[in-house]
Amino acid sequence: MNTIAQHLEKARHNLAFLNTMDVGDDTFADWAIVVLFYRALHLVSAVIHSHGRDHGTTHGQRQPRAEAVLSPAAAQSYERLYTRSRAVRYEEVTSTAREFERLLKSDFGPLLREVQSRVPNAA
Amino acid sequence: MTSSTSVRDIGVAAAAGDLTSAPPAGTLPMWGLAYAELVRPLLEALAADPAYAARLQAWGEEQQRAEVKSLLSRESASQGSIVAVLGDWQDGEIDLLFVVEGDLYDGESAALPIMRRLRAGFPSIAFDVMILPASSCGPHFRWGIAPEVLYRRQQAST
Repeated sequence: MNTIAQHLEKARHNLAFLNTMDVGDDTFADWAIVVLFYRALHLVSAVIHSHGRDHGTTHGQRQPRAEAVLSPAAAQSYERLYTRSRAVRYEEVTSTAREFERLLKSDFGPLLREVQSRVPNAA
Repeated sequence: MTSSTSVRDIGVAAAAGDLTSAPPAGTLPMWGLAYAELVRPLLEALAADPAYAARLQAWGEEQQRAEVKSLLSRESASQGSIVAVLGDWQDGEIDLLFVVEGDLYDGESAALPIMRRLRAGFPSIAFDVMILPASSCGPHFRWGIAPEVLYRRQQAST
């Protein structure tokens, strides 16, 4: 995926899926966190492209590039979403709707606002 | 003493492995000549040797690992919520696992700035990261391919 428009479209697609989930219930809070991370991944990738750079293919490549174009707080929020989504997928870590809400408000929200200030039409 | 004699004498010393000692007083011009004629070609030949180059690279990587471990230990020790840090090195990349106790969000807030400092300090290394609560890392917990303990919080003495 190589263009800003493609990444923004994928972010909107993930938002549409997130809107179909009952995020007020603990049952699928883990998957809600995973989808939230992938929404963030495409938003951050769009910002990296907007600086004329490539985001790479792994987290080890993408994170330093995110840190180069985002504020320290936004870059940390993005990495928090990454590591949390990784933890809930592969390990015995339970998640709750409350934790999802915390990530949404404390990390994704500010990250989205920063992305929107740099890339028009980001959602 | 002719210059050819001096060069030969120094060459014998070099061949005997005496390259680390300073040249004798008054022989610096001769030593420079020896370096140009003998030592530099020797070093170039070594650098062109794949086995030597591999050893040199391995030594460099070992030094870098030690520096990463040192930074991790120092930074993690200053964060009370970090219990342990494991590292899994694979082809120039390192996957790090921070084990934290208490609130996971707070543990992430302690570990993630360390990740940023690692990336700033070692830009040639690709760092991956996972942060888990200690409660999920029981005795049967397995992680990574060849994990190494890079930091473990010391038990408080009773």
